[in-house]
Amino acid sequence: MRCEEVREALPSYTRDGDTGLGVRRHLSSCAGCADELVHYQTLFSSLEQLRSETVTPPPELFHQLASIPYRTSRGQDVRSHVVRHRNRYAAGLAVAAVGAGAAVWKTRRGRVATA
Amino acid sequence: MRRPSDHRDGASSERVSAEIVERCKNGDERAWAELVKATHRDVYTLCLRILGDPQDAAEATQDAYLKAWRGLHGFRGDAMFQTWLYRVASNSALSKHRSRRRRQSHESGSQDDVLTELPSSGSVEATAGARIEVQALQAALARLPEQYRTAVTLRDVYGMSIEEMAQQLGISETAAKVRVHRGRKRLRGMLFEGEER
Repeated sequence: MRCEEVREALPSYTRDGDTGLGVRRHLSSCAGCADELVHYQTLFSSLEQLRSETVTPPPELFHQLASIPYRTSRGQDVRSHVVRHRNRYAAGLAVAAVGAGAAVWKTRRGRVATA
Repeated sequence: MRRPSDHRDGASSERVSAEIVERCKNGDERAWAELVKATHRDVYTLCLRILGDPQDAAEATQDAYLKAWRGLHGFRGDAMFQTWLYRVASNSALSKHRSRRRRQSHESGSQDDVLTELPSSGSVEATAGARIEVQALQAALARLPEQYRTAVTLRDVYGMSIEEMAQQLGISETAAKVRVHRGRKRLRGMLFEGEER
């Protein structure tokens, strides 16, 4: 195998164990690709450990989450849904208003034409 | 290949006992508060890593816990509770991500500045004794294009399977593999060669 082929295969070889004998053979005789392997091993090990690096959430978040059982009544759900999607509801209302206006205008125009 | 159930416990994550989950299923609000206390840092961090914005991450976290509360009866206990919760959380974060992309389809700009604010507590030890500073790694992840960042985060930080990732992202398994592969190569380039491609 050529170095370019091996280097292309190295991420999944290192992380997922997708291996071919050719890659292993090449690595045993090519110092450059072996160095590359170490880079990927370092990268994957570091990424895995990143999982234990957590971020402190906003302080109010815990209380919001902990209160979910108290505020999941049907009425609350509907209210929070409407608030979260208020832009969509506003757009929908605007479209409905335009549609209604157009219908009224068309009806009046029809009456005028008939008269 | 690692499956989602291979998630190891992060240092910050307390294991949620089956007893607490059962009490939650029975509507015990105190048990729910315990469960939230034990898991919300990890869930928020996962959402932040996918979304890059604290406000969006907090909203996705709320969505996730709301779904978790409502879907607790669907948790059969054949996987670890945290694994199930991560799945729900990544789903919420990805939904948020999709709706945000639709909303911002005509805007440009990145969230990188926010992600680079993720805290650093030194460096992590690698197999060959080499180290990558946590801050450097997080900054490099943040500089990845969104689709690669999400793919690498889900696969290599949280151990999600390609199959499940494809399902959650709504793409083919081949596309998921390509995103992971390209993301990994870019990360390696940034960290070891200073490449920004």
